Amino acid sequence: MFPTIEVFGREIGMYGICVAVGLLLCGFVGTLLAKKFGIVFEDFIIVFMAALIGLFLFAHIVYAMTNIPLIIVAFKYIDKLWFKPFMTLIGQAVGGMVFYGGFIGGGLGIVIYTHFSKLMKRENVLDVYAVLIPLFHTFGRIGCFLAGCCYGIESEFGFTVHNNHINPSVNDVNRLPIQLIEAGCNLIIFFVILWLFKNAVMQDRLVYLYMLIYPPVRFTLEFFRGDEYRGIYFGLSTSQWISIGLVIFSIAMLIRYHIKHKTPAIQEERTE
Amino acid sequence: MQNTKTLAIVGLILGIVTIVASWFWIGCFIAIVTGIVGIILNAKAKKGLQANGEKTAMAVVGLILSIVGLVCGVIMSIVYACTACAAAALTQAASDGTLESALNGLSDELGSELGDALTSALS
Repeated sequence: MFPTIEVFGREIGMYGICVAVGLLLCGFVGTLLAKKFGIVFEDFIIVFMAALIGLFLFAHIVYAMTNIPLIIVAFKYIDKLWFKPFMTLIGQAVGGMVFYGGFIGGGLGIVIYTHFSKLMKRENVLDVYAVLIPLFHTFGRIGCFLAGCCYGIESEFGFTVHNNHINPSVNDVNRLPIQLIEAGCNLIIFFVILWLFKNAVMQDRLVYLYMLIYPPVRFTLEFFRGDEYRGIYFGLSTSQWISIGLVIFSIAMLIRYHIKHKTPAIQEERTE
Repeated sequence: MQNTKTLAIVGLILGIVTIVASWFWIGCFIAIVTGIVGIILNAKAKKGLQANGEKTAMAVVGLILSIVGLVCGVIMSIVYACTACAAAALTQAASDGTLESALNGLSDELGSELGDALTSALS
């Protein structure tokens, strides 16, 4: 579609612009949501940075895990490729980002920061995180559509892209706009979790609820992805395996929460 | 009180560095780091100055510069890193034994310097 635009003579990727817009909007919305828990702007922005660090680190780490053969080749020929060709290959091996890596990294960043900072409760911040993640992801997927990556299967319904020099494999084939479909699903998830947040439903557990809602959606949509190079193991993609893992994890955490916070009526019966 | 002012000054400097660095190759990646650090320092400085009843203008300016610089750094770093598909295609080729042709294909995309290095590597 429109992978790049020209700004002051520089070619700027639309994907980067979408990510930046998503981050800014999440920062703004998060500041408003965090007020519910008495978290001031300055404290929120610091924990937002902690989440951002984790997000970027782990998004790249998980991406690199799908490019291990390339990294091995780069190091195998390091003496012949040193310096710029080697750095170029390594840059390409780790330069991409995987959403699930970012999601897990962002959550870890919050957990680690709130462990050391006593200014805010971890569960409160994770609730805000659960609202912001699908909002950010919506913009990320729109960016993917504009850049031409993470594209869909060949289909009668959809768009044909031409002359995409960033992702040439998408060119000249009518494809299902799976990125836009997923962006729409993420937007719906955002509004659902936002409503639950505002009405204090499933307080302290919204991130686990998100892990129950989004992974099955992602698991299904993965079957309509046309970019085969993202890694297939035993018939399922990397993201599908991670989806299964996250659902199991969220069920375990919700059961743990339920056991830890048994209703007062049950507790009274036991003491009688 | 002195520490808070020092924090604000360092934060402002980081904000300026972030804005400038974000426009350049390598600098844009550095801008992401300095931007995040700048935001944290400026936020802490603003909170401390507010608590002491002092003016927060320096911290606010530093915060704005850091945020803008971080956003620019994110955009520019994704521009430079946005060759993910080539890398992923290479991985597939590396796995199924067509490594030589895959590396030659990459050299076509990246230009003669890497092509020479890869040709030398394969010889």
